[in-house]
Amino acid sequence: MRERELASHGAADRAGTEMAFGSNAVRLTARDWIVTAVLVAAVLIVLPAAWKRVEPLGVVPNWRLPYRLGHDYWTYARWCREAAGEGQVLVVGDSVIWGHYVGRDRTLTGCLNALAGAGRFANLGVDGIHPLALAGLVDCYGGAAARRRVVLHVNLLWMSSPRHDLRVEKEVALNHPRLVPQFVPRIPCYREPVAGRLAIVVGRVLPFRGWANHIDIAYWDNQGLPAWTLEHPYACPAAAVTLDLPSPGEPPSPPPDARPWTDKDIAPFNPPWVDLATSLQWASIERTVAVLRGRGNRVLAVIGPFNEPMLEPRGRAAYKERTREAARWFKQHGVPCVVPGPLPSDMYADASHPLADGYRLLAERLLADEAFAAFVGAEDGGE
Amino acid sequence: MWFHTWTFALFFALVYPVYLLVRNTRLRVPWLLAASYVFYGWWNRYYLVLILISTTVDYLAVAAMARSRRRAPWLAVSVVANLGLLGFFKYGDFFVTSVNAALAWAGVRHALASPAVLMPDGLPYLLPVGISFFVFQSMSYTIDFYRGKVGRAPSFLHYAAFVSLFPQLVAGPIERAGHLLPQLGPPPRITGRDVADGLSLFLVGLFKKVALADYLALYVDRVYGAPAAYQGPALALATFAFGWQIYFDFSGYTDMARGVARMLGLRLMLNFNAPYLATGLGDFWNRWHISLSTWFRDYVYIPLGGNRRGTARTYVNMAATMAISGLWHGASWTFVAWGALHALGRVATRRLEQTPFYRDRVPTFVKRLWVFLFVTLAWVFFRAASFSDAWLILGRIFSFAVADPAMPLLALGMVLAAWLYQGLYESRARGALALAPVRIGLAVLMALYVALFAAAGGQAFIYFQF
Repeated sequence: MRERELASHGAADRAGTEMAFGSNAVRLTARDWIVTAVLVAAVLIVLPAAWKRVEPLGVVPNWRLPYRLGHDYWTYARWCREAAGEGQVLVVGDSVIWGHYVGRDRTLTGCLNALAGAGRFANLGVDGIHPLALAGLVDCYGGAAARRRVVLHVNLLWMSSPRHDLRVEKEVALNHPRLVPQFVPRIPCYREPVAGRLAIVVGRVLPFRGWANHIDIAYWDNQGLPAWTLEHPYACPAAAVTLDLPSPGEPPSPPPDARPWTDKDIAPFNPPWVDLATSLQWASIERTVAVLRGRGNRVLAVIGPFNEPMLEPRGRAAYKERTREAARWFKQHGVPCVVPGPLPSDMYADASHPLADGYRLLAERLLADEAFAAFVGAEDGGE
Repeated sequence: MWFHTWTFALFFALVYPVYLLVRNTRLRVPWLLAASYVFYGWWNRYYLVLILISTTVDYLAVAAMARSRRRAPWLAVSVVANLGLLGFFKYGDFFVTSVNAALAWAGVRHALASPAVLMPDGLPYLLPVGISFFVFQSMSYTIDFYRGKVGRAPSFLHYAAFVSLFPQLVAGPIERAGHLLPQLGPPPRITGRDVADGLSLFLVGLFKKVALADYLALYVDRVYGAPAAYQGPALALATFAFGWQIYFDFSGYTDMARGVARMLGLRLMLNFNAPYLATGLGDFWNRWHISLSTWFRDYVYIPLGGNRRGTARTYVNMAATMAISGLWHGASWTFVAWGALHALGRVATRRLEQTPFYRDRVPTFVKRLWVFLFVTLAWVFFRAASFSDAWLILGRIFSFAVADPAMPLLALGMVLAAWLYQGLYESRARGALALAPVRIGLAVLMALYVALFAAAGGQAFIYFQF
């Protein structure tokens, strides 16, 4: 009897408790589980679809993914569907296409629309994206663009060094890590643990995860609900969901220095270019083309133009060699390719980003190009 | 490989179908063992060596006891080997640091070398995940065999599977051989009810972990990370939040472990039973980490003499057991202080809790409140990085200064809702919670929250470090 009293230091009788379910009554039967699964699935399927009806995308001429939504791939997919639905030529690429240094009307697509007629080109560029991520973006979130005309911009800057090519072994904070291949090919500088990689892969195939990310990014400062409430402890998270998306005209943060590179004390350099044959980024461009063509898209590639005067002679020669090689690859694979000549050097903000005048000139050159004009004038449809 | 990651989901999706296929064959236990070793080796393959050492020594010790008339030496071999492993890996650094600090204080110029120098070349000196759990589980087998409470394991494979069973390997519940080993014998009968129950337990555990514990951790980590930057209200709320964080974290893990085991046709013991509804400190330890509490009761408190040698000795035994229990939680004097505080509380209130006045006259909510406040304040020593932080935190809490604590109302609301739920569960309204619409509604809400708002990846479990 006294020994039993000893239970003072912890003492549930195991024989008595081992059958206990726990201090909760959420004990579902198989039938309850079916009901639960149906209800949860219904909400997760219906909610993202219904959300598109209540949250206007606010498309205006020369719309582009608002800067703050740069990692909101669910909104990107929405925009892709909308642009494809209007029969526009979809221009896909990195910050050169998105227009890092210029307002939305002065981007390449903005200039093309100004010259060729409003609403003919859609800006499907994403700020900060690189080819490895672009392939994932097109593959996972660009399905709505099937059978449309796609202009793929190729920025060889991503092959200008092993670091740009993401081939260095030292860990690097990648742009758009949720879009890069998680397992194959291996990206040496990407060190996400396996659990995180699996979560990313699963997140890509579950549409509601994209919607949840959209809510986080658009309304909760890209922090997620728990962390957002930490910064706004007494605010109602639901009240922050205003259904007003950021403006596509919003400049990047911090605002970029939109002066010509020649005014910025940047010296010409000689980058350690990587070979296209072994480049991870170039392989992703090939993969992007394969994905697009597999979906029946008509594809035209635009290479560059790079700010060649910013390269030392040896680097410039290496760049030209890679441009020729890239153009050859596109030709061999039946993809029309345009290689515009370099713009006047003072029309660049850096090695690859034109300024407003540069985009205007580039648009004029592209529209004057026979292959480009033929591509733009052609109908959508499969190859 | 944490339960709340996709890695585990993939692992279980591969292990479970095969387990179901082989459950009626002789491959069941080997398959379970292989899965458990993969699960454990996922963290660090070197850990497997330690668990194999512990398993082999204890299995051979029991085999030797079975053949020998003198059992005590073999028991000693087992206890020394297990406590040696634990001591070296968990307390080695703590011991050396403490001794060196004492030597320096005494003006002695000599200092002990770090235990890391004893590691073979190339092997890191790391605290193996869950070592305190599997060592205690394995040791209980030899002690119980010595006492004649359990028979020998049918085979080494059965015994190895018992020690390393993946659902409870790294954070318990600490099972006893008499309970779990027999379940590894005959083929289990796995019913739809087992699977439904297992999933239910897993869902609740997952919600506790990723929706509640990880959420509270954000606030707790911020405040406890720089306590000097906060005033009393924030420190008090962070301490309150930590009490719930550690409960949700650990009981969530246990729920998931029990859920996974249930799906395998195995039943693990209950480890938590609404501890913050306890009406006395004794009652608290009947509800908190039950498998550890009963372990210390059976293998430390009672062998010390329990309450059979008079009141004074009872209190000494109780205090010693609580202090050791504190040290079990971590190699730091703050953990010892935490255990000592609980010992003090138990010694001071044991007699009171047995009086008719306390039992019958003090309102239940008052008893619950005082126990909760005591336990919560004791957590300060558990969570604080150092004694100086702990004193600073307690000093500021009791300065009663007024300042904005900036604790998210949503987090506070979720904790209070969970507390209210547990209160209702222990009240006459329990029947209402068992109604199908309530159960299903809660399950739907939990699943949706986890799917949409919980952070991907999540944080490690607090108790893994023990």
